[in-house]
Amino acid sequence: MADVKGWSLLLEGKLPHAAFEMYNFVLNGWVLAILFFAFQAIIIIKTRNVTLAFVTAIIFTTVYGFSSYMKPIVLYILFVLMAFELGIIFYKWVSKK
Amino acid sequence: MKEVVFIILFFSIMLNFAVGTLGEIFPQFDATQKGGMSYDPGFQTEFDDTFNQSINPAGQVQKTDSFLNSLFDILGLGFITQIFDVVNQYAFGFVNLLQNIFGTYLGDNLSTFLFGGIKAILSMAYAIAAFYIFTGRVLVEGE
Repeated sequence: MADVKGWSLLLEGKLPHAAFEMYNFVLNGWVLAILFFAFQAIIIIKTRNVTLAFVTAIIFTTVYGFSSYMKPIVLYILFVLMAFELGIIFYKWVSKK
Repeated sequence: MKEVVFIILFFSIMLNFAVGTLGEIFPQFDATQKGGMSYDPGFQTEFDDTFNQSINPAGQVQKTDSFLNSLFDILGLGFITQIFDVVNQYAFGFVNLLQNIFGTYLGDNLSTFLFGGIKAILSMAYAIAAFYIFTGRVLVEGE
């Protein structure tokens, strides 16, 4: 079973690392991006707070955005998402709504 | 409809500010990841170069390679084209952003047709809203 991704990590008892390796291989390197976009959607749907979503996006981009776990196309989506969120923040800030 | 027009115009300007701010926060984003919307360094270089140069006498034509630009400078049309550039950047910045994001998947002809049509409709809405601002009369019935 040497070819299975994350199997050796699983045998060593590193469960989160093994799960990350398996899902990251299955989803072709998109697991962090999918988790983050789901997280953003949950924040926006449940709290309706764009500032909170933007701050979490800044933290995520600072920590993981330019690491080797990210595909370059994710940065494109991330930039557009953050630009829209910051635009909404500015708009609400200036228009006092 | 005029409220929607003002919201679109205002949101486009705020989106420009947002893209410029994000480009300053994360310099690692390169130009291809910004959807064609980025801070224009031409303003800064124009500002710096203007203040670094010596004072020229009035009426001197700026030397450019293009004869058309020199002619525009003589006629005063170059100023108008610059105004149109600024209008294109701010009034249609939102449409330009959408075109830069989705236009590559549509092909040149369809992209130009679709987003050019959106710009045409939006410019008509801008004209109606500007008429409302200056005269106070609503042109479109049923509002």
